[in-house]
Parts: sequence; C-alpha cells; structure tokens
Amino acid sequence: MKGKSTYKIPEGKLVKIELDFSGEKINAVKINGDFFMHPETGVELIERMLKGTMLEKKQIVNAVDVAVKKNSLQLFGITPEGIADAILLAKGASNV
Amino acid sequence: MQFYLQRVLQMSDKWRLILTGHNSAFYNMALDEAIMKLSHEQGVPTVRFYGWKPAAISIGYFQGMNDEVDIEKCGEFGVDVVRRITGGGAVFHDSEVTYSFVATEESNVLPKNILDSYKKICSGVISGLGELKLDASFVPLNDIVVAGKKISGNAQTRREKAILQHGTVLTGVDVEKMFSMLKVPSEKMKGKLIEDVKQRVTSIEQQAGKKISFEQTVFAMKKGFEESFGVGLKESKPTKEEAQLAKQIMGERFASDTWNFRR
Repeated sequence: MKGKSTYKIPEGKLVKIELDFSGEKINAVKINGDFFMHPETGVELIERMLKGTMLEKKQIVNAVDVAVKKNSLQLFGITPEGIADAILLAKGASNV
Repeated sequence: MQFYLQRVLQMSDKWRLILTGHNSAFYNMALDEAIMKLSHEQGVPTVRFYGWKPAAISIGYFQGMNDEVDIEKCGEFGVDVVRRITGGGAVFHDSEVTYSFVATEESNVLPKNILDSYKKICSGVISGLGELKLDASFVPLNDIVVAGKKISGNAQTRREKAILQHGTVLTGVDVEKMFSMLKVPSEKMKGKLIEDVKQRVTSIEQQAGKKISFEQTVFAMKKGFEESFGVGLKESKPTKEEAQLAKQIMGERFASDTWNFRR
C-alpha cells in the first residue's frame, strides 16, 4: 500500500512523506521537505534504515535515532519524533 | 587600545570578493560549489554576490521538484528550475541580490557550531541592510527579518571541511508571480496563502520606500560583510580552476534532470 502526508514539525519545518508498506511493515519511505541535515546524504541513510521497520512510533523513532547516531548526523527543523508522526500520518492516508 | 590594534590588524586582512553579476541558475549553483570544493587552495574566505538571469526557482536538497514546482508554468514564464546542494525551501529568484560565503573549517573564521555560524554569516547581511538604513535581525534557524517580515533566507552546507552558505536578499518581491509557479497544498486556500505570505515577506524596496538597485545593494552588502567580519574584501575573478570546475559541475549536476528531479 502507498500513502502520502504533509506534516509541519512542531517548531520545525515541513516534512512530506511518500510511504510504501505491507501490513505493518515499511517497504520504502521518502522523506522530503524544507528542513536541513548535515551531511545531506544522511537522509538516504535514514530512509534505508527505515526499510523493514514496523509502523509503530517507538520503532520508527528508534530506527531514525540509530541512523543519526551511527552517522553523526545533525538535524535542523526535523526530529526523529516528527519523522515518525509524518510516516504514521502517511499510513493513515493510504490507499491500496 | 589593544582592541583597536587588533581591529586595525584584522581590517588589513583581505578576503576575496567575487562579483559575477547575473547568470543562469545552473552556473550560479555550480560556481558556488566549485568555490567551496577548491576553497582549500585559497588562503582566505570568499564572498560572492550575484543575480539570476533568467529568473529561477531553486528548491532545497530534500524537496521533491514536482511536489514544489509547476514546471509547465515555469516554462511559460521562462523561469529555470534547479535543485540546490543546500537544504531549506523553494525560492523564487528574481529581484534580489544573492550572496555566497565560503570558508574552510580550519580558517576558524566561523563558529564550529552550525547554528552559531548561520548567525555569524547572517550578521554580514544584517550590517549590509544597516548600510541601507534598515534595522534587520536574525531569526533562527535561517531567516533575517525587517519589521518582523522575512527579507532574507539562508542555507548552509559543510563538505570536506569546507563551509558554503548562500542566501537571498530581496530587493523586490512579487508574491503572486511566485505562487503562480509554486505548488500549494490546496488550490482553494491559495488566495489566503498569498495574503499570508504578503504579510510575512518583505523587500528592501518595501522597507526603504524606494527602489534600490542591484549594484547599490551589492555595495551595501560588501560593506556589511567587511564591517561584520572586520576584514577588507578585495575584488577578484574566479580562478581558472574554479571556472573549469564550475563548467564541469554545471553540466554534470545542475543542468541535468537526473539531479534536479532526483526527488
């Protein structure tokens, strides 16, 4: 199934999610938006880390956190919690 | 006395000033990147001021081109589109002066902390607006406002121990034209959104109550950066290596759909 969402991170920037999932599992996710991340290539590392993650807030936050820490990413205007909320919103707006 | 001497000594430092006038979006973005990539070969930081011809929309590194931009409409207006290597939002580059600031991390002219370094570089723009008698201030993360309205947006990237920050200083603003090319979440809300943005965005022309030319604005910004960093800016041209690399980057990246439409 596929879903899209646009979510304004509280006190942050706008995140746009394109989600592909089966059951409760993420197949692929694209995280777009007007946020900042150093280095920029970190976004692809986060997207990759989320593949296979269950669609549950804690697990998504944890997967993003792992990618952030492992790669020493710095996020501005976006947070692991915000990414999780946006992904779950995309799930809610899904159609087959 | 000691402070005065230190200041005089600093003022004798000459950083590089590059003035390239108006060029295409592809060249502008490529030259910024080339200057950053070759910054370790320069002994000093580089400040560049430029404009966009034709007018263009740049989107942030993480944005989806088709999510943000009505490509067909841009074609009708002859407006180019390009993806930046920096994050942030979509920008319509028309009546503005754009600056770029490049320094190596080891030059120690900027704070290590990214948020602090935004503020430091933006202080050059704020001093420049001060030269035009406008009272501007920095609003984290990346905006500069006058009278509570945004007049400048800024974006930074750090690669290979070099720092590039570029940003706009709006000399004029046409919100309706901008939104005819930018996609909005809901067409029904477009009118309200345009009114909101008109309330939140301003330009030198609006704030000064008169048109101030590109050249006058560049001159003010040059003085602003000199004042803020306590250095002199000495005009020079891009080096042969920078020009060559810019040409290569332009072809491989900024003028290519693979890059511009990758998200």
